[in-house]
Amino acid sequence: MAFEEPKFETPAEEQKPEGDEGFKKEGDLWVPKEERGHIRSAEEVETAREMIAEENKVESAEEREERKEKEWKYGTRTLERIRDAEREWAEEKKAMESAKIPEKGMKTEEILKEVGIEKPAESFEEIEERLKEELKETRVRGGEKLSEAEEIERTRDFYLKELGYSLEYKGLLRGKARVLDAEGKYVVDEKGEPREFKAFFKLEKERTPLIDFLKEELQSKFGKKTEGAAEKTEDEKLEAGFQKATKTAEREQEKRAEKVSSLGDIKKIGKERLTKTVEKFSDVLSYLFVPDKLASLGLREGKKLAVEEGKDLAAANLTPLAAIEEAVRHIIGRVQVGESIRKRFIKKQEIGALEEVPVDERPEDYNERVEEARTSIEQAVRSLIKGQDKLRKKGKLTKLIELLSA
Amino acid sequence: MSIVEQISKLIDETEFSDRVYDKIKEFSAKLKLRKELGRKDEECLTAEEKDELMSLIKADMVLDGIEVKIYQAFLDKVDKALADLER
Repeated sequence: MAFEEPKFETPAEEQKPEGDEGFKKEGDLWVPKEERGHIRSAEEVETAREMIAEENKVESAEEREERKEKEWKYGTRTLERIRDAEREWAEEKKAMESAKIPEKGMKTEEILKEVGIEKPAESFEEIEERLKEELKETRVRGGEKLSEAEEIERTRDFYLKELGYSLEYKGLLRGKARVLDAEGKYVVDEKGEPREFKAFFKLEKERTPLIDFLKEELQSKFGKKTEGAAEKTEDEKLEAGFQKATKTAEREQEKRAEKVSSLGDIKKIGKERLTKTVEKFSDVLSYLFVPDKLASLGLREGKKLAVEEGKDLAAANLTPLAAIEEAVRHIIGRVQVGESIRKRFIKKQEIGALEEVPVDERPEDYNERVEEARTSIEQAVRSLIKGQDKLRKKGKLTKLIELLSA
Repeated sequence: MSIVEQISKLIDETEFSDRVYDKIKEFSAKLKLRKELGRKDEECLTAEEKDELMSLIKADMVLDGIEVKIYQAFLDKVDKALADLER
């Protein structure tokens, strides 16, 4: 050609569309490479679909069918929750990959503290310091500080935990609380009667008698301690911290077991409500045992630990993200019980819908589910305590190794 | 019991992840051997070996720690679900 063809002379329809390879030039015209009426193969359709921008895509008949079936099977809200979890997982993962690893890692004590094995406090002042720190650091509802009422509740729970005490509520509206000591016996007053406090508090009042009482108990506990008793060794402190963590986990498990078994008590709440309650509960459990869900829990909870210790993780050829994934894989290997609940739950749902078995006629199945729920909760508590024990032993090991150079 | 003996005993009693298990065992064997050859406690590991061993144990502690945190978070969710049902 003697001169360059000016672009504006070419009609718009005949210009080669950008990014489309389906046209060739014949003389002065752009013509389709294939003859009109060419039937595209499935792959060609797929590649063509991929080129369409996400917002312009139209659902295919099969996709729609698939979506409807899924929605019917799991419910739109469950799917929504799963989508949210996936989004959260992707966001956290991205943040982890770009996270800056600090120059210095955490100390052994800090790792243990992170997971709830803390050296027991040595004075009342130390407890007050820890409480202050906890109240300052805790945030609720998207980063807000604690309200006054929440602060009072947390202070009460903190003192209870430090003392190893717990509360037993009394009365029709659970308006009164009795204090139980570490052995589960009532704390009594001068007359030998169990001490009772109002379980609620008024905000405008400055004093909350229950908290004042717990504070006094703590102060007297440390008073006694300083009078006698030799200094504890590092090892003993670690052991005491572990015992405290174990006791807390066990006490919480007792409460849980009580609640779960009351779910199975058919006389208490009636068949219909029981059915709904147990279904709802086993839904929560099975949902949590979905690997993705556990992984996002791991990401959220273990992020700080994994990033801060990034340097040491590198010694084992792990990035922070890989460490979390490995920990999750390890857990998933142990939670087949939960996985089987999930599968059975889905299967039952299908059968139930297909055969329309009246819910009232299959209560035995629910007792079984309650039993399975109990098993998986117990398993989680056992693994938790075992994990804490492993940590304690390794903590001891690092202390000994440190002594090698001293 | 010397420090080295205590360390060796603890290593035998403790569970490690598969990833670091072999290396930890290797260190443990080295420690024992050098002790048997009559070295002092402080001479049983070189500074680099000591750092590596510490790093590996700490890496394992992080893995354990993450697991503990996941179980705790799981149980917290269960508690929340149970509290919801009570209402």
